[in-house]
Amino acid sequence: MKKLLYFLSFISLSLFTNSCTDDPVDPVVGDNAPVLIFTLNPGTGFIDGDKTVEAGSTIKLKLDGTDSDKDLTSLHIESKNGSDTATHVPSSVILVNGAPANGNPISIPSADGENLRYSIEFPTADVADTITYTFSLEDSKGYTDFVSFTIITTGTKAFELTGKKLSNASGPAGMGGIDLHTGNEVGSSDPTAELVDLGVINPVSDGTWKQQFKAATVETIIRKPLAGFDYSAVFNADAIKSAYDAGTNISNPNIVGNKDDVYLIKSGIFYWAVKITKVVVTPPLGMGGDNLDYFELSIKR
Amino acid sequence: MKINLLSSLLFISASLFLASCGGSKKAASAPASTEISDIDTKVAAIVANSSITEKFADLKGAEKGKVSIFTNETGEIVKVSKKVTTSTSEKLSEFFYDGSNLIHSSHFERNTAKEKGKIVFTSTKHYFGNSKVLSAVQKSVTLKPADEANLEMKMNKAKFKAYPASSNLMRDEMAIIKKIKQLIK
Repeated sequence: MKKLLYFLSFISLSLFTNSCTDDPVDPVVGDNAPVLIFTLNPGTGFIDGDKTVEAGSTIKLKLDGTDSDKDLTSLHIESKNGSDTATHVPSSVILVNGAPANGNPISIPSADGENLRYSIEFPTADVADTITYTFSLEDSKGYTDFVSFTIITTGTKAFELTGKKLSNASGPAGMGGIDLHTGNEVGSSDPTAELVDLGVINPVSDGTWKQQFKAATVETIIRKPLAGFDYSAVFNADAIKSAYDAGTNISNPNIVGNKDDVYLIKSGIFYWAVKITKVVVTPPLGMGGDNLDYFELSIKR
Repeated sequence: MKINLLSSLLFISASLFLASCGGSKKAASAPASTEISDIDTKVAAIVANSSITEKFADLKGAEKGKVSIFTNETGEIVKVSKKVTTSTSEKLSEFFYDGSNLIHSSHFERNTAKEKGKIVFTSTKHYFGNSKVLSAVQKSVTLKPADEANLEMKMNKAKFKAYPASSNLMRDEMAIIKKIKQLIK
């Protein structure tokens, strides 16, 4: 009987130790730890390491996370400036797969607990700086893996004013000019105006709005950008100056403005990119009109 | 009493057998053969592409060898590889990509330490789809050093057999790829 017991015990032990073959791939991480990696071939516009970009631009990256325990719980996005303490990037500026982040750390739904591929985007610093970003993937047991990269920003972020008006100079007093610094409407002879409207064709005989404007003073210079300039893609003040420097002078100082026209403007040390987003024409005065015609402008500085 | 004891031992034996594989390892569910053949076709196209460019770095430290990243004519990474040499073995691991997705990995090892006086060659292939293991197969050939010239013939004769892939397989492969990417800037 004893021999039989020994025999059965031996069989048990043999089955236990030999029932599985060794893993063919050397394990390189702990049994429970997740792995986070930049997605290979992520597509155009995605970064997968250190990068120098214009201040205020948006960076996009794609990450693959995997965890055999299927218990991925959160993704932390932290930024660190020099010797400062790392802080979480505000969730309000983060997009995950095109939708606003549910927080930072980003809470990972159970459906993504084993494998995830997240496309993440957020804006860089507004001024020239060097910031290291770290993305940490965490599971329910507290195991983590991370990727990090450094973004160097150059120049200064451009700020934009939208829905600003340059109105018919033949309209009421206090209109006909625009202060590009503030976007405020001012009178056509106001000293703060950079651009002034040219009013109607003839106040006496033809009240039709000319739909023209010009630089208010010789200090203001208006140029056309080179072909291919994309107003919507400009988010850096230095880029506006560079575009101005590369732009072409306009021979006729009286400029006919049309929707979607873009101009690069310099006055003193200031540079703007101005886009006409709308042209609103009302009937001439005396024909049921009011001389309240205007250009609607978006202005970046 | 004896019957109870025997039954208990048999039950324990069976439980240990099932638990030892079922817990940490699982066989990949049988994939559609078209999925596997599609992957084989894509891998063959990558291997046959003469326009592929290699960027590599030598391994330093404990591991000796070389890691490489291969890009196609459009600059897309199509293959990542790692070759490691020790005093008793050589192992080449290759990872194949279709776009952003890992579709296949193959590992070929030549080992002189596993069997005294013989060389054990092991070829392992993994197929992936939707970030899951579709299939894991392996074959081995053991040769005397004098017969190594017959390796190709012997390897071709040997049949791949499915084996229970570790549940960590996908993650471990990703970890290797991550390391390789970090080594090659």
